[in-house]
Amino acid sequence: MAAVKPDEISSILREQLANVKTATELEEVGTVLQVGDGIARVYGLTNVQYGELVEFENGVKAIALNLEEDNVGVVLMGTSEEIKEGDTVRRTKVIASIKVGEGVLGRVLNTLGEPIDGKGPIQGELYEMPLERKAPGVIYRQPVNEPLQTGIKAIDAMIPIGRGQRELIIGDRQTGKTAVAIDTIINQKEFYDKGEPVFCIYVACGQKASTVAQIAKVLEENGAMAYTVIVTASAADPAPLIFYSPFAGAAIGEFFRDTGRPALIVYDDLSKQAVAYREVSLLLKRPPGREAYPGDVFYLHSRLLERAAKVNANDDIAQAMNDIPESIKGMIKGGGSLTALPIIETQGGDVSAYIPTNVISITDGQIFLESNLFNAGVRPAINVGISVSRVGGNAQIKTMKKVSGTLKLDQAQYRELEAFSKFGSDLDAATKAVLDKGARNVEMLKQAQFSPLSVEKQVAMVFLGTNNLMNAVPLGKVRAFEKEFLNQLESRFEETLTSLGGKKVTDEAKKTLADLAEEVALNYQK
Amino acid sequence: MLSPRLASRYAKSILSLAKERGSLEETVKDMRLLEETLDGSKDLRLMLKSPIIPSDKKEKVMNMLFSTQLSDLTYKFINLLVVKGREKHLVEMVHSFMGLYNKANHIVKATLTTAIPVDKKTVEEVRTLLLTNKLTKSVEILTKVDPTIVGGFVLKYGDMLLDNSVERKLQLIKKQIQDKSYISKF
Repeated sequence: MAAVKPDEISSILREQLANVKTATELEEVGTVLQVGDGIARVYGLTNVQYGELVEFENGVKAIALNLEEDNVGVVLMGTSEEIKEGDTVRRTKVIASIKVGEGVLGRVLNTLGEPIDGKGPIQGELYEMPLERKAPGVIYRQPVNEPLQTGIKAIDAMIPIGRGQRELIIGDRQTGKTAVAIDTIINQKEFYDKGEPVFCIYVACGQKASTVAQIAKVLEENGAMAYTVIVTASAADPAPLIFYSPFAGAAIGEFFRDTGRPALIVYDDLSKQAVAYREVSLLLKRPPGREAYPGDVFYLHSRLLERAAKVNANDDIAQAMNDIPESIKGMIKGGGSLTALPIIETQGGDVSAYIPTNVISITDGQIFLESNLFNAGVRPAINVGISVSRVGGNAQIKTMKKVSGTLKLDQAQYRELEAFSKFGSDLDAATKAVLDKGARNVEMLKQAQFSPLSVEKQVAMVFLGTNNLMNAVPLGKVRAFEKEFLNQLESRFEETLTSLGGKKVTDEAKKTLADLAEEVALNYQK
Repeated sequence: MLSPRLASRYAKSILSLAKERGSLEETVKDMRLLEETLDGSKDLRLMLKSPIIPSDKKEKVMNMLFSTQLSDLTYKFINLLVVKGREKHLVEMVHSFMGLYNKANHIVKATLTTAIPVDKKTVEEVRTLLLTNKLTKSVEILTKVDPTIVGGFVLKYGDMLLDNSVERKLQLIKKQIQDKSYISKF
């Protein structure tokens, strides 16, 4: 490396200083009356707007959330340690926003959009995206029509998710909620490699910092970080940062959505966000309601989840969309989508608590995870009986729709008979057949973590399940059978496999699958 | 100011009563005197705020200090505060009263902070500048000397701030260099 000449440095500095703006502007200010618990009350700031960013003398930023007759309540986006009574607070005249660009992919950011992974500043052009933004109006949307492949058999077959949908993942602690979301992110690698990426945003909201580090590592190892952003506000961060972190994630998602690309956002988890919001609301002396949550906790979640949308494919219509931030005007393209997978943790399976019922009613369906299924070894522990997807069916690929048509019904029948069959041993042949099929399908739907399946393979397996082609395989060997079957299918009948992703399962393909299943099953008979 | 709402209630009441009795000028004069004395003496402020000193002692002190100088109404007002146990908020109330009075009469209070003491001429210039606003009828200027601002001046009036100090400029430069926002975008 050539030595740097001193005059080079000073000339650069001079150039830089020449561009520095020091013009004095008339500012609007207030004085701190009281500070503590992450809240400050400010006297003055008469013209401040709701949600506006204000700045303290030491550079800490805050958001004005309570505009009262004689004071303004602001929530601090940093520590309150250096702020004293009597300090000056300045208006910034901008609403809270973060900087987003292509450079955020592969990074770990905090709520303010600052990288916290130690890899230096975010590269490339950045655009200002507001944290709070109105969701697209009715005419700028279109119905969900493209599938979002999760790579999990049970979900893609029975609870399909479409791009632009909001599907809730709900369950007790330790039931694999995060695992479902992470598997979905990992499964998007297939599309990234194909050159049509689904950009993923994982919002860790009030999680342990160690969990976030673990997830970042898993995503890194599976090659998923290339198209993923992690937004995190750990449990140690101030409550305002926690409850704004999903909004920061949504702002990043909107950048991809509005520039015509598909994005997936995981909010992990919204119950902790609601708790953080409750904390701030109570400190701001807003009246508490049910479970001490403030009255607008429903609006908090509904306005966040409304931002998930499938944007109209027509560029002209998309460009006329409401509330487009100034910074990305001119880059707007139609056809983008933002799919949201909010996560809610229930306590002891109680889905009738306040926050779970709210979010269930907002979303377009839910995936229920149950701890007794999890403990019985059914993983992912999805209760298919009460899990639904309200719009995803339209987006399911044709072949999958065809083969999985009866699966949900079969499983419902199986569960009904299963309870009944525990009483007696004398069963007629028809009942026995249903039980056999159901038990095999339960085995078939089991899937290891971090091993998403492509949709073609899923179609093949579901086809075997719904057509009784695994009857010869003992229950305990279904998973081993599945592994070998898929291996053989991939190596020997690649064409058939690819055709399963098409429009129709041809008779030819059906025959190939049946023959192969029979052949492989021979290896697994007693 | 700990409780602006409380202070403004008391301030409003004495203001309206003074208007009603036609002794507004007198009361304003009293309040100015109180403001000056209280702003000037930290000990007095601390004494009023102290929870250890009993009210009757505070009353005696106030009595000795102001009994000859204050009008009847203001004196009664202070007694009322002592009775209500609100004497520790006197400072806020006086400020609040002056704020209300100034607002009603379009008087603007401005604070001019400089690194070195300024001469009268400059203060007058600032005053004429502020008077260019037609809604402002008169300006009270308080000058402060604060060497930490290095140079330039900081003018604060009402909720507005004109920060033309060297310190603020240095801060701005530091921030812009840190954010690299000086790099012009093409």
